[in-house]
Amino acid sequence: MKTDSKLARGALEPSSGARGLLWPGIIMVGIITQLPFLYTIYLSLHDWNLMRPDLGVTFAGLSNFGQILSEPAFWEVLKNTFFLTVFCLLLCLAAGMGLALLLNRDFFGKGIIRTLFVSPFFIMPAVSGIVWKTVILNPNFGFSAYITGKLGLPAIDWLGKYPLETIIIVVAWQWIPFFMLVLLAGLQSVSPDLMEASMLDGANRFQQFFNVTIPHLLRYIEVALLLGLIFIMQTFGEIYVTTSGGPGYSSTNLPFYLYRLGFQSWDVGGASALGVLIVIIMTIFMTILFKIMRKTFGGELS
Amino acid sequence: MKRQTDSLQGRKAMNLKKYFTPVKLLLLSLMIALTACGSPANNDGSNAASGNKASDNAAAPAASGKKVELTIATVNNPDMVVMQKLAKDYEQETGVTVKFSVLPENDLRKQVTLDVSTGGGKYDIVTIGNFDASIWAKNGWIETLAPFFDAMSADAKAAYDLDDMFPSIRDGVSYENELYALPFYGESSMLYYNKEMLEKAGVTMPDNPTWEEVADIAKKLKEANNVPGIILRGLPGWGEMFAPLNTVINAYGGSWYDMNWDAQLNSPETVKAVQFYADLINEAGQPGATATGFTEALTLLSTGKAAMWYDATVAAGFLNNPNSSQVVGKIGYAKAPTAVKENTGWLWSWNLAIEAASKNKEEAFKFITWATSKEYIEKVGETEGWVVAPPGTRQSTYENPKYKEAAPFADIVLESMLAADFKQPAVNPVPYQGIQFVNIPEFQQLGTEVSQFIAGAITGEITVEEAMNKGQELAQKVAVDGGYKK
Amino acid sequence: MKRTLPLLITIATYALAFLYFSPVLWLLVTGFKTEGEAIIVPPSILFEPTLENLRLVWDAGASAFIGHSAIVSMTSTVLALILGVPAAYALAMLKVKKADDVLFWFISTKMLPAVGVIIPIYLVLKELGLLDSLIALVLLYTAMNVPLVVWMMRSFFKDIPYETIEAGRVDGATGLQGFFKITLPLVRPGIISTALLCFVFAWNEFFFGVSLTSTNAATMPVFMSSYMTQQGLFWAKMSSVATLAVLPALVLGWFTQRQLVRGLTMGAVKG
Repeated sequence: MKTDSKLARGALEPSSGARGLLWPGIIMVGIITQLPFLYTIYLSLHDWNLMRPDLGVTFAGLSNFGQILSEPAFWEVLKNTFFLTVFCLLLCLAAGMGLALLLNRDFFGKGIIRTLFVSPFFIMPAVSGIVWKTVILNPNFGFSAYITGKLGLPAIDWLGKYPLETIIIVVAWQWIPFFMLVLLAGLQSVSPDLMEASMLDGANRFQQFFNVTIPHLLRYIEVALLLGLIFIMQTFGEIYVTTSGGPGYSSTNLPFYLYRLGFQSWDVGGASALGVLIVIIMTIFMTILFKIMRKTFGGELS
Repeated sequence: MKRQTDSLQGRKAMNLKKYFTPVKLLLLSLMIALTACGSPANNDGSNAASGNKASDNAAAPAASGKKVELTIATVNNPDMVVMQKLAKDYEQETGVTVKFSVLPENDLRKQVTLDVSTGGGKYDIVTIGNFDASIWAKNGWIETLAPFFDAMSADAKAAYDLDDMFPSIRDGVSYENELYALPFYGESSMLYYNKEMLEKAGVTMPDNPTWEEVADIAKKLKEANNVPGIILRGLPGWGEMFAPLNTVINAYGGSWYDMNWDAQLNSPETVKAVQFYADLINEAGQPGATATGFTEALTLLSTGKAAMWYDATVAAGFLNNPNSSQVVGKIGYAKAPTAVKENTGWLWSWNLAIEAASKNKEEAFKFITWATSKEYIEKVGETEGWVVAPPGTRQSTYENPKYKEAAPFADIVLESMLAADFKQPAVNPVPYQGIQFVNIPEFQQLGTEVSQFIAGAITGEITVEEAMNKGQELAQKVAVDGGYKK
Repeated sequence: MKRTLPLLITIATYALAFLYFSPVLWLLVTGFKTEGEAIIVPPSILFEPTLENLRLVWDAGASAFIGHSAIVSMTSTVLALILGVPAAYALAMLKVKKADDVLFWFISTKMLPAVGVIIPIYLVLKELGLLDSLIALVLLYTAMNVPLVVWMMRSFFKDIPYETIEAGRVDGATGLQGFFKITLPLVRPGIISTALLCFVFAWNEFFFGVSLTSTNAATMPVFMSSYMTQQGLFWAKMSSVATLAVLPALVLGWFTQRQLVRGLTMGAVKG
């Protein structure tokens, strides 16, 4: 870290140069993401139902926000989003670590095995949703029904009885490979000297893992968690094709709630207000997370 | 060696470059950006080139008599696939280019609503259900067809023969007695059963059963065959679960609203109907009911994994297709089950309408009259087989002996279509139209939300009464907020 | 004992990998079955493969959609790198006021779900006449991926050992030259893995694609979605079209996963 700041102060470029490099990216992203967002804020203060042009677009003040916050569904959805994100990330981390450890050995066909594990990450979310729903989970002709049938047990209605849990598993199936890859990269970069030194110190495998490997992996874990967080929080395709957010609101997360408001109720004002709330909630959440990370990893973000 | 010269040059230029480097980088990146952007734009022709030009270009050919291009938004059901195929002939005959944008029903409705409500004009012709027609007409999103028909020659009018269309279907696409869309395909609902399984259970099915009889038979079938006795849609969605469920509600004398727009979802009749539906699913229905839509149900019955199914009349064609069905020839048909009310079958149609923002309305009208004409049905029958001829729109189709021979279920469909009362679906008078839906725009949301509650009742999370009380609250709110209840 | 345990672990790894991959395998295989065979449980392993579904899907015009997807994904990936890499370089190597805040802002633009901005974007594109155009998707996907590029590339730049750059500077390779000659080659694995991720996210993007295009710029996910809730039995056709839709990203992923690991493991360069 020190060397970096020294490097900067060593005047590779003056800071005006830095601006020249930064602005194109900032302008591009700003225009395309922030202008529509400003418009979203504007719309959030209005009542506008696309299906009822006869009612027109009218100023509504903050009533859209009040309405959403007073809706019990909103709080259920918030809770779902939290559970979905947190449990999915934990599952990804644990399983990803397990797989990374399995693959961090020398054995025949390692490349192919890694290829098999990695594949789900590259599949479109909607496709994996459909495949799971049809092939595995369907209680009549899915594979799980076949197995329970062989065992003489009644078929389990996964998406009806455990909708959120099932979606967590489907999403995790897609994201575990990413965690595995990042952690595998981390494992492979642990310096052998360090391992040897700890061995000489008489540490056993577990001590070695917790005292040497894990601290080394912290940065990699952070990379995976942060990226995973942003994407898993936004889970949409899997829900869209499997449960449509139901039964009730039991598998609706914030983005899907937004979809229900915007494209089932055609309530543009309400959906926009929810969009603004999501950004506020996530900003607060991320700020706290960044603070914690800064404390954990010292100084600045990596 | 090379590296040395490079660094030498670098040293010379260093002082000058020091300041300009970032600027150059920016310019470079912009340049590459522009050339990169150029390729898709060129590829895409005038459309992506720039701003308003695109729409000017689209309008120009129509005016100068050059090639007209019609864009049609449609759903991907088999009838529409046939239409895409035959549209090639139409293109050859007329010189008009026809482009299809094919989407699943929900995405289609979302897309087209977005387009018409913002005046986007992306489509010339849109495929809409009879649920949408009156709403869209009221919003001024689709064109009234009367002026176009008036401009037609007497011969052409007689050949098209509007009176041949089923009155119930015409009602569905009219608003204030004006026609706004032309029906391409229509369906009702009926009961399918596996004859072998009924035999094994030693029961017979009347032609015109009541729901009580059906429930009784379903339980016996389940016991005798060890498969679900009946499949009913439980997938949440106004067009999924509520399609069959609303006909059950109508059958038991329930409704969504009374004449004062007071919600009736927790009325004894409605609750009784929903309770019956949920009980039937849980006692004799399929596991995983809340994930069962049309397709899942079809898969079950056609693989012989269920004994009965109550759903759209269109399913008969799939169940009799030897390429995908394992129960060809084993299926019997009965009319939609009844209770207090007779003739409970639903009424759905897919229709072609002209978007108000279209720039090629004349051509669009020509196309939709072609695609809904007698000749078109004849053409499909002769080239693709009569069993796939678009059903449910014209009386003449059902008088055609070739169609009757190919479709043994034609009589039940015909009776259901003729008897279906689109304008007065429930036992008590209601202020809305539509059998398996309520023709107000809010019903998409309302129906979907309430079906989510009922899904919760089917899986046992809450009771039916709780679900219906929640639904009642929502429905009442919709009536007040939407300005229906005075 | 000492010998059998690793062998057992290896065998367990094989089994696990097969299980984990099986849903994908089902998808790839079912596309070559008939509709009747596609719904048999347990899935038949020995069957006569048919190209009928693939032909049907191809005749329905899959190639145009694949073309649109390819153009949009590749162009937006290149653009995102062109815009993102310099910014990441600046944030990592140069003195920037509030660098952390800039980074946070970039990441924060990814917090609003696409559904939340679709109506404003739709209206703006309509005014610009860019609905159903490839250029609109390119711009959107670029903006979607720039934050990812900035964030990932920044950490790769930070991992470059100070000595390497110092050595380059002694040779006089500063400024633009230094950047292209010394810095960029060092982060090449990082760029490749970032580009791969950008491509995959752009290729798989569903919501903007479905909402903003109809015919002239419709991408592969749009084409696929038309098969998703089709009436009738369609698992085999669905699998065919889904195979076409996922294969490019999948194959690319297979071939570049080594790079991906190397890219993510840049820290090792230090050691």
